[in-house]
Amino acid sequence: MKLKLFFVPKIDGNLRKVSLSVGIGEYLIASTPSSLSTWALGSCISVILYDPFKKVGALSHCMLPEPPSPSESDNKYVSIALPNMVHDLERLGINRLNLHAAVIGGANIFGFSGKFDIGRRNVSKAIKILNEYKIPIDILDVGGNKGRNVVFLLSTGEIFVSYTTKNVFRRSLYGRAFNYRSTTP
Amino acid sequence: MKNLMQSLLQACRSAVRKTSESLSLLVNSKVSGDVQGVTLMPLESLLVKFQGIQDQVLGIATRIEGELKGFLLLIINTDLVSHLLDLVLTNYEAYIREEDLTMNLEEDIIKETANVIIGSFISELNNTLKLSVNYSLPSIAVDVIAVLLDQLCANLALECRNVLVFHINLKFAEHRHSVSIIFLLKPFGENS
Repeated sequence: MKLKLFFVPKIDGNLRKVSLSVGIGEYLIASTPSSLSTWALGSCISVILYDPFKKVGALSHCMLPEPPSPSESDNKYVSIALPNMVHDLERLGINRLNLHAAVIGGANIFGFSGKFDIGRRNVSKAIKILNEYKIPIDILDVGGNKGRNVVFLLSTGEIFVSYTTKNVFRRSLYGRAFNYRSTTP
Repeated sequence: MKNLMQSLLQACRSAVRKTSESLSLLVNSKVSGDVQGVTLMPLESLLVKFQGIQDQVLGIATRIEGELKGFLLLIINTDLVSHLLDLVLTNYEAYIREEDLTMNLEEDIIKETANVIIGSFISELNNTLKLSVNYSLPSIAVDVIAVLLDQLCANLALECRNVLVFHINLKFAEHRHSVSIIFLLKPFGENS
C-alpha cells in the first residue's frame, strides 16, 4: 500500500495553513513537499491520485457523478474530473501504471435514498472509472453520515482525515433529558 | 421574473410572521423573525461561503416539491437546542412518561418544532402566493453548516446551476442565539 490513511480528531492548524486548498469542482496537482487539502466534504467526494516514486499527486473535490448532458466539461463531475486528472498527470510525465488512488467522502448526511443519495452515486462512479484505468484503490473511506476534512501530504503519501462532527452531541442530549426528568417530582 | 421575486419576498415576510407566531405558542416565549436577505448565486458559491465555519450545528432539512422546488434548512445552534428543549419540555412536562426516556424524545421534540416552523412557513407561502407546495418529512443531522449544505446543493445541482437563497432569522426572547432558516429554491425556469 502506497497511500496511508490516518484518522485525526482535528486537522492541525499549521497543516491547514500551509496546504493548498482545493475548492468544489476543482482539482490540483502538486509534488513533494507540498500538501493538498479539501474541507467540508458531505456527499461530495475527493479522489486522490499519487505516484509514490516521483511523489507527485492530485486531489479533487467533486459534487456529482456525471453531467446531465455530454457537452458539459466542468470538473465538479467525477466522470469529467477523474479522466482530466489522469491525463494532466500523464502530461507531466507520470506513468499511469504507477498511480495509486484514494476515494474519500460520499456521505449521506440527511439519509436521502434512491437517486438523491448522491454520495453513494459519486463513490460508485469514481470506483468504476479507477477500475477502467486499472489504478489500484489503496484507501476507501466513504459513506456514513458525517462530513470529512482531508489533508494529503505528497512527501509521504499520508492522508489525514478528520470527521466534522462527533457522536457526543446526541449522548449529551439524552443525559440532559434524564437530568431534567430526575429533578421533577 | 423580478415581479415574481418581489412577490416571493413579500410572501416570505408574511410566512416569517406566521411562523414566529406559531413558534411563540409552542415554546410559550416571544419569538420574532425577519428575512435577512435574498440572493441568487451559483451553488458552489453558497458552499464556499460557509466552508470555513467549523462550528457544529443541528440541521433539519425538508425537501420542497410542487410549484416551488428546493429545500428548507433549519439551522439551530447547539446551545439553542438545549434552550428549546427546556422551553418545550416545560410545556409538556405533564405528558412525559418514564418510558419516553428510553425513546428518541429529544429528537421527536426537535422534529415537532421543525414541523411547526416548516408547516407554518409553507402553508403561509401557499396562501399568499396561491401556490401548491408540498414538503417531505424533516431529516435531522448534526454537522458543520458547509457539510449540511453540501448534500442539499448536490441534490439541487442535479437540476440547476444557481440557487435562490432566502436567509431568515427567528430570534428567541432572552437568548442570544437564533434559528436560521435557509430557504434554497431552484430558480424559476432554470434547467441544467
